[in-house]
Amino acid sequence: MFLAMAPTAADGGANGRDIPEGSVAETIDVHDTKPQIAGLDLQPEGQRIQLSFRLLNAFDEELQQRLDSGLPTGFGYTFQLLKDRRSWFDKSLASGNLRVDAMFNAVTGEYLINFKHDGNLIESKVVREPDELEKALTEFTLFPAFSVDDEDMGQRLRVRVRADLGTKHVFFFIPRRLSTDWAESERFEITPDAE
Amino acid sequence: MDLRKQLMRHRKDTRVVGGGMLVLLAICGGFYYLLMRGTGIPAELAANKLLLFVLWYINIILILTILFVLLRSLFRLLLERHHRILGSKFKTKLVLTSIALSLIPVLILSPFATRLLLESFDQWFTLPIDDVVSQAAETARALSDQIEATNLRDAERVLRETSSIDLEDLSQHPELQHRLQELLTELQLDYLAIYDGTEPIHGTANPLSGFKRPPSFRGLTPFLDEAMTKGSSIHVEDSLDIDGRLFLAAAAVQRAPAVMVPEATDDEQALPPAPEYTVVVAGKVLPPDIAEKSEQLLLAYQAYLQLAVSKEDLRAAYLLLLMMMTLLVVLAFSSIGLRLARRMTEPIQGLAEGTRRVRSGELDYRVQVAVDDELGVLVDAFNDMTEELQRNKELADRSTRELRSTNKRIAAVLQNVAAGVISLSAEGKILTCNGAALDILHQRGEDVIGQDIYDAWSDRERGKLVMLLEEDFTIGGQLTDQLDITVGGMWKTLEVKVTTLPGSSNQVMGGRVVVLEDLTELLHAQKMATWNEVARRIAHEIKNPLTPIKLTAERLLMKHRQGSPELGRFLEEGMEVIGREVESLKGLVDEFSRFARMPRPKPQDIDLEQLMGDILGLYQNIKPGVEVTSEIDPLGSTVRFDPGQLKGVLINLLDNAIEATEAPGEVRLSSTLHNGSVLLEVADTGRGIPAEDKEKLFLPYFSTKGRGTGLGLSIVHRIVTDHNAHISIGDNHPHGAVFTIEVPRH
Repeated sequence: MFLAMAPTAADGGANGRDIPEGSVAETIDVHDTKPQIAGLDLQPEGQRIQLSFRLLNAFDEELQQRLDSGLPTGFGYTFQLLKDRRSWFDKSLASGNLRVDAMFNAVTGEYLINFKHDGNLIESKVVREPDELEKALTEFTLFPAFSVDDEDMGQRLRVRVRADLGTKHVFFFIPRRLSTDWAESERFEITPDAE
Repeated sequence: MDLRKQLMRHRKDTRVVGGGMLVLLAICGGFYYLLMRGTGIPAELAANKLLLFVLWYINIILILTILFVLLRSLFRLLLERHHRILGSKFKTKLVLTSIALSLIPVLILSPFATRLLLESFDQWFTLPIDDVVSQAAETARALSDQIEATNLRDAERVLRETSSIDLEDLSQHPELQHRLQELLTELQLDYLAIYDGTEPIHGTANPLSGFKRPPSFRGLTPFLDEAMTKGSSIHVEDSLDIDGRLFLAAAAVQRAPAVMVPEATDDEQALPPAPEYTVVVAGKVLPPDIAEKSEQLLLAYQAYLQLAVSKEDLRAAYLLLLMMMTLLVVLAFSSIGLRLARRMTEPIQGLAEGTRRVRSGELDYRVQVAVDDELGVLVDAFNDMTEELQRNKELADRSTRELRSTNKRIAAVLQNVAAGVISLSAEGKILTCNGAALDILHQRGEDVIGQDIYDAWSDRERGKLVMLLEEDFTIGGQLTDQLDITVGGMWKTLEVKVTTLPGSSNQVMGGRVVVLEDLTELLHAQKMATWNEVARRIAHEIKNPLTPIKLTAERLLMKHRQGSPELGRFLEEGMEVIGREVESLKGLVDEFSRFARMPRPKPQDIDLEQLMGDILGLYQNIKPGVEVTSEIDPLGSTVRFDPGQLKGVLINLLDNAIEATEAPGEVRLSSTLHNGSVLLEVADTGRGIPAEDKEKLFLPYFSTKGRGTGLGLSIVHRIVTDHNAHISIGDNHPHGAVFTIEVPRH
């Protein structure tokens, strides 16, 4: 269950994670109220790279009201696996998208949450409590985001994640996408030994 | 291209443009919808955004259309004004007025309408409404919460009260079932079941509670899992098997495993025993009417929340709709105003153009403007007028051509007639002068035509003509006179006839026509003929007394030669005859002398009544059966004439009249005033004068009486003409002759 509740401090930090060398969670500015991706962590499993991260400051009252209205509401997350090049732009090796939408059933008082990876429904769950809802929408643990090809093994890699918070409209109809800044991991390598 | 084709083409263009805009809208809308879906927003919101996009599109198209229409119209007006096209000022005023009339109300009303709309819109989401809706939803939810809480409390109680029963001991199951039935009744539950984990052990349901068939007590695994995980859970079952809504609450408790796990071998790692749970599920069915109302409340609240979430979009949609309607109104009124202005100015411009064309001579031009109002009547009237003008012009042209032809003929005739014809304007300018007139007056055309008579005839001889023309006589009247002038070293006698022409009105003189007749040759011929006649008559008259004288002389000579004794008597008789004939010759000579020595007239004002009275006194009872009368018009009782000569004239005429009148008859002497002249008439009832004799009557030595010298009427004619008067002969009715002497008053 990769979409399990994110580990908390009480869990003792990394829960079963194996952080490769060079992959370090970034520093979080707790005073920043701007939506941001935090706690980006990654763990290889074979040639697969599993990501853990949290979205902070995005679950506000407006979002809650929108959820309570029964409209499908949620966030999109974009992942990119980049090959680090010293003297040139990084090369994108893979990318993926995770879309999480919740829809409230006022009669049963339940939130139906759908997870779509690259447009494919991969999981649905029902929660009743707002806390559970927020965690389901914003916290992810060991999400299998990419598979690294053989030729990229041993390369200096980097992962970055961004959350799509929704769309605002200029003059009511010109869409403007709202996103967080990219959260980037440290450079890392996946070696055959890591398997 | 006729009007119908233009309209069809315009309609086709409009359809093409409209169709193009709709296709563009469909393409843009499709792309926009895909774009919105690509952003991940739900379909409902994407539809909302698409609606907003369509409204924006329509508004922008409307704004562009209005701007295009207005700017094009204004640009056209500016061009028309720049080129000073007639009607452009009027059209400008109309267009600006119509635009102002359409814009001013809209500009005034739009802020109010917008504010009113926004305030009305905000009223939807004001606190009272929000409170009512949310509290209604809270009430519905509180009902659910209460049922769920009661269910949970009951489930926990059932869990406690059945804790003493060993579920794994099948012998206790009847008691368990009995106990569950009691608790179902006691707690007024509709559903009560006890599970071993997720496996149902016993369950019971209230048959009156709305279950359409007995419940299976299965199919609740996630719900039971959650209860086992969290200790309790709640669930709402909205199945078709239930008439209403079933609220379930589960309470779970972990129990010690009843079976010991065998000891692990060396190869196997010891596993902790799997926890076992006893789960009690209590349920209550909410009646369908309450469930439905509760659901409606909650759904209404959700709908309200969805509206609140889409508030900005809705506000924008309504504002855009208002804007669209406003723009449509502006466009409609502007278009109507422009159309009205065009409808009003097109006929006027057409009329102006028509006027210009007609003024430049294009009488076949017709105003082609299709209007059916009063302006259309005006256009039709204009076209009728131009048609009438064209017809009249054709008639006038034809008349002019005919007139020119006639003029040419007249000019040819005038140029070839022997009489001189001169036309004068009312101001005395010589307009035309034919060749005969130029010959008579011994002048050239360029010296005369176009000149004033005082300039053209400034010399003394020709000035006589001017003096004649200076005489005033009535319009339409005629003046005839005889002038003796010497031009070019030649003495000429001219008969001058002046006729005044009427002008634009009968009171104004339009000009004069002067006809000159050169009588020189004629008079010369007449004189020659007269002298021939005189010579013949004198010879005859002389011959008549000479014959008796000769015969008497021969007789006396013969008697003398015969020595007749009666010579003395014959001599006396012969001398008497000779003396008588010589007296006759002397009388003849005296008569000639008197004719030749006609004294110069000495005109003076004569009282005709007295004169005519004196004359009538001479003729009373002069001829039995012939009455001599007189009649004097008081207005024509005086005349300027030589008294002796006038008396002689009247006596001569009366002598002839009395002689020509057989008894019973009448000779009447009268005077009347006519056209400023005094007419003296001597009328008789005699045998009259044959027409062939009238022309010769005033010639010397012409006599119808067979006696006398024939000089009497010649002398009368001379006396009359010496007084600038005129004598004429006419017929008296029923028979007789009338001699009329026309004497000018001045």
